[in-house]
Amino acid sequence: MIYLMKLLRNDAVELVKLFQSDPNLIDEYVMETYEVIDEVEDLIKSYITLRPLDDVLRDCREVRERVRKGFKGRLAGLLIAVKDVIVTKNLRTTCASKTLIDFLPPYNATVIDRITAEGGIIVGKTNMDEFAMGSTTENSFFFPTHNPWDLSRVPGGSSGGSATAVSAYEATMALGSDTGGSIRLPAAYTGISGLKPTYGLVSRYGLISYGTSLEQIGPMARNVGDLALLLSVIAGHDPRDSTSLYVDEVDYTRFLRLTPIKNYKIAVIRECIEEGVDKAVLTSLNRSIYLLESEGFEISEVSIPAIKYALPTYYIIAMAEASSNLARYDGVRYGYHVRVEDRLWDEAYSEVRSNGFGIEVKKRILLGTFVLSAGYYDQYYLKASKVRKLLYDEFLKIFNQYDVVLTPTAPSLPPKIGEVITDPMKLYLSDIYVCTANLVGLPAISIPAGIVDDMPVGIQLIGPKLGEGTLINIAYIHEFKTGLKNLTPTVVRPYVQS
Amino acid sequence: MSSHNVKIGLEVHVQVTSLKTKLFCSCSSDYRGKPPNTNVCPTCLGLPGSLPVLNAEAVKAGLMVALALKCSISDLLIFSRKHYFYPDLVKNYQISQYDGVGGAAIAKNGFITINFNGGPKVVRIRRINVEEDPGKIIYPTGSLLTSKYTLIDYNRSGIALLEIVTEPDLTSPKEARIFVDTLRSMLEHMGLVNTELEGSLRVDANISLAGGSRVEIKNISSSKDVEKALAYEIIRQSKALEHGESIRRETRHWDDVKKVTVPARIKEVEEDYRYFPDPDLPPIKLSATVIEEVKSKIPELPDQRVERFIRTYGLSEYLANVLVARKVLADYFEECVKTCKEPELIGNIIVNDFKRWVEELDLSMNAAINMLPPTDLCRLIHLLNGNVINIKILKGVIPKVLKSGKNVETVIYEDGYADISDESVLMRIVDEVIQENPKAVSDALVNPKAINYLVGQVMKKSRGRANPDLTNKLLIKKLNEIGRASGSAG
Amino acid sequence: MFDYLELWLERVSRLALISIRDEEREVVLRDMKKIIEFFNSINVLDLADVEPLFMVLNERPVLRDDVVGTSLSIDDVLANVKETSEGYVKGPRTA
Ligand SMILES: [Zn+2]
Repeated sequence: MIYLMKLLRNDAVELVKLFQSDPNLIDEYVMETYEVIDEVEDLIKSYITLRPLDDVLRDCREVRERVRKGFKGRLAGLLIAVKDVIVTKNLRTTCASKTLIDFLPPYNATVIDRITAEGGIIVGKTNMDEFAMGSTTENSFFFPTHNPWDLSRVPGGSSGGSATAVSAYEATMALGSDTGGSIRLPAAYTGISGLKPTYGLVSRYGLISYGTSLEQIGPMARNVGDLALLLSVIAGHDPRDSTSLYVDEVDYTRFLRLTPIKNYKIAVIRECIEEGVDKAVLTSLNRSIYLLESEGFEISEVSIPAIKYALPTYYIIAMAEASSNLARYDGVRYGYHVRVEDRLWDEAYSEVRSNGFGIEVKKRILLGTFVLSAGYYDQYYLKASKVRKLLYDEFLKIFNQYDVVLTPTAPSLPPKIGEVITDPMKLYLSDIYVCTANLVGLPAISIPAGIVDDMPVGIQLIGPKLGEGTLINIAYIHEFKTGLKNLTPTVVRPYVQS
Repeated sequence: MSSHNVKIGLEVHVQVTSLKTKLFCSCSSDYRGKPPNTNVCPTCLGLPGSLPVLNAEAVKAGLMVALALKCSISDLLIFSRKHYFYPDLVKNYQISQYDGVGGAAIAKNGFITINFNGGPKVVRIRRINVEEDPGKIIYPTGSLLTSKYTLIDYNRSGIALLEIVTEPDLTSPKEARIFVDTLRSMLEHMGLVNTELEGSLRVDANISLAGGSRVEIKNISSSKDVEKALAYEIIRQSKALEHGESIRRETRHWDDVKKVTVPARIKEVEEDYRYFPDPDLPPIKLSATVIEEVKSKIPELPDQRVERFIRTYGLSEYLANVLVARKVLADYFEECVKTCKEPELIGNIIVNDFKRWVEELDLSMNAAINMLPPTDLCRLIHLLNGNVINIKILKGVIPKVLKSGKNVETVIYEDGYADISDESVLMRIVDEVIQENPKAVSDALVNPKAINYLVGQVMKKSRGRANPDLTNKLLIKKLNEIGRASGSAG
Repeated sequence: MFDYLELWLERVSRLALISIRDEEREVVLRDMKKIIEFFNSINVLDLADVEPLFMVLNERPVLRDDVVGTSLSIDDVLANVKETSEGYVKGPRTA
């Protein structure tokens, strides 16, 4: 058999079919991917821990033998990159922090078990902002990750490494985590699709907590089909997570159809397009609106005045929860450590925590401690939780009338490395459209909507509770209409084309 | 002492030992005696990424206690995080409950009626919290102050605890002790807590005297010590007040070896627990259905049992109360009564002898009952009723059994309290007595009443063990033989 | 304002057991000031009648049956511990 193109140009579903017909192709696919990694990884720096090729080939052989014996795993032979905030048994998990520099988890996150049960192979642990705190993947203890579309720009964050690994064909697909846009923002910045599921749809067991009540693990992929496949595998009830929803397993690939499941009504939030949006972003958004309208969908503008308070509300809640979640890093049971002999516990802990955490993490812990502290709880944490309720009610109302909400993913193109990191207000602003979905627990997807000046631009669709199918259906139609699928950054092109 | 207007409030921590697993993970609740750190999982070790999942039975246990303590129950079960750094606390926050904005205790505003000075007294319960136990710190030198480091065993980490907090309604150490005993008995009767397990019941006591600040005494592990620690504090504080010193607000530790309270000497850390609802544990509706279900499963509680003991067994209020104060003791009593009736006698023996010796010898009630099981106590009662032993001997056997661990049979035989009913054995003694007392024998041959002297000699020789009826029978038989022999000769 | 912030930083540092190095101090205080002002922007809202929403979940949470599961092996427990002694985890002094 002669292949006209490299294996890795295939969509995931196609790859799995090919592997089923010829299991030997799995090795070939792994080799192709590692060749790309050899070429581009030094430039992009997607991975904190890349598994050695031999280890991956060993896993791959195992999958191959299973496939030979009739195993029909939905991910059999695919290479999955995993954000380094998700624990992997006996595979170093650092959260991009000095604090966890040598942490070897003795257990797997539920999503990892689900992926390997379907024959997926973990290729490595991707770079991120330390403890997922950041929007650029510059706040990593190890190194910043570069945007494959323009190496001088950030890939977005905090799941930057997962985004670039996918975008640069260093993996078939990836897992990210999204506390306030951390999947969708880097997806938009690197020209891929990323989905934050409904709160409780994907198990958080094994996701190292940052903002517990906000975050979900989600899929990142070069096209909507791949995304739907990975979501189908990781979504579902988990008795190990108290916040897990009692849901039946859904095959989201059945929403991959060009005829819309219904005549969608789409709301565009006025406050998200009125001001502060780059022209490049607005142009792409308008083109998408036009395309969707021409599909017969009904598009209207709605107003949610409270949405301008979403960003401070999100940061107050995320930091409050972070200050609590990150209290456990004291060096005694795991991670960065100081000798304990003749040290008082609070001194020793303070030394560990002050040296182990990076400056952004320290700032957020201190601010989170502040908003929960006596005398300030009511003014900040409680008040923010009330704004959260306002927003929650607003979205409930909107979804009584509309099927999805449409916004830009980010207000601008990816900034240059070093451009926003020094100013927290500029940095935080990139989350302005994405953080609301986390506050209200609703599913949201970012999909490519255009390429401006050789940089990808994304739009975001927010759905009602458990409306992932709707999001995937619309995203699939949008992808087909725009042709924005499997976008390949220039730097990678020579290595992925045959 | 009462002139000082003493106010005492207690915080009682009890482990729900009836649960098979910990509060938020499926590790075994049976952590005692295991090698360190072998009873832990990612969750109770606080590993990054791990999550808590609530033990459904723990909710029921909390509700049952809340109902028994006549509390009003929260609509929602909300867990809050209580933040402080300490090496036994794996997450550096404790999953607990908070009676304030955003939180709720599982139950509050209840009461317990205790029996004090012959009358009932109501002690108000402020609240009940469900929370997780921290791990255990061991000090390598045995002392917190001189150890250069700590050794931590997390086997206990995550065990389900109930924290029961009273209003400062108690006015004397004795009353505090009775409160703890009453509460303990209730928990035992509900089948939730085996208070014989080390560390299953821990008390912090707050005490203030008029004119002084509130002092907290931590780490008291029995009701007896609650009384002792508070009595010690009252004397210490009264003396200080008499000398014109002021009592400052502080935390003290109960040293249960030296029987004194000492300043905790823990570094004074600013207290700001930053409670907020734990986002890992969504609130649970405590529906009327669930509450009714739990209510229907509450077994007989101590006050009902006391009443029944008085009614059914004719016990005095005193005996009934003492027996029921420990569920094992009350169960023991009922087992014995089932076997050999005589409730009043048994009640008295258990309370005045058995229980007293158990306490004096510092035994666990269960161990003591194993040494003197109901069948054995009943055997003693039979011997007493058969006039084989008198009550004094019976009372003497009990401590011997408890001290030696030997069973009743052995003690009785070794000490010669037993009844010799074996004819051949007894006949040997009778023969000896007849040979040694020819004068008495000839008297008896003419005067049947003189046989009593010989009986007495047999008793003496057998150290009271000879069965009196059999002795009589054997002596008469022997005298008859002698009479016939001398008659035929003469 | 900076004096007040210094005091503020000292207090939260003590509560969180995180100290800020001298060379980081100026930047951190500047950022903190900005962020707190940013937080203060929600103060304009009148929320007296609004119930707080701490988590979005509104259905029955997951509970667990009281059944014993597997614990970690001692090797797994101690694998990440830097200082141990006969199965115990070595910790700092508490007094
Ligand atoms: Zn456990």
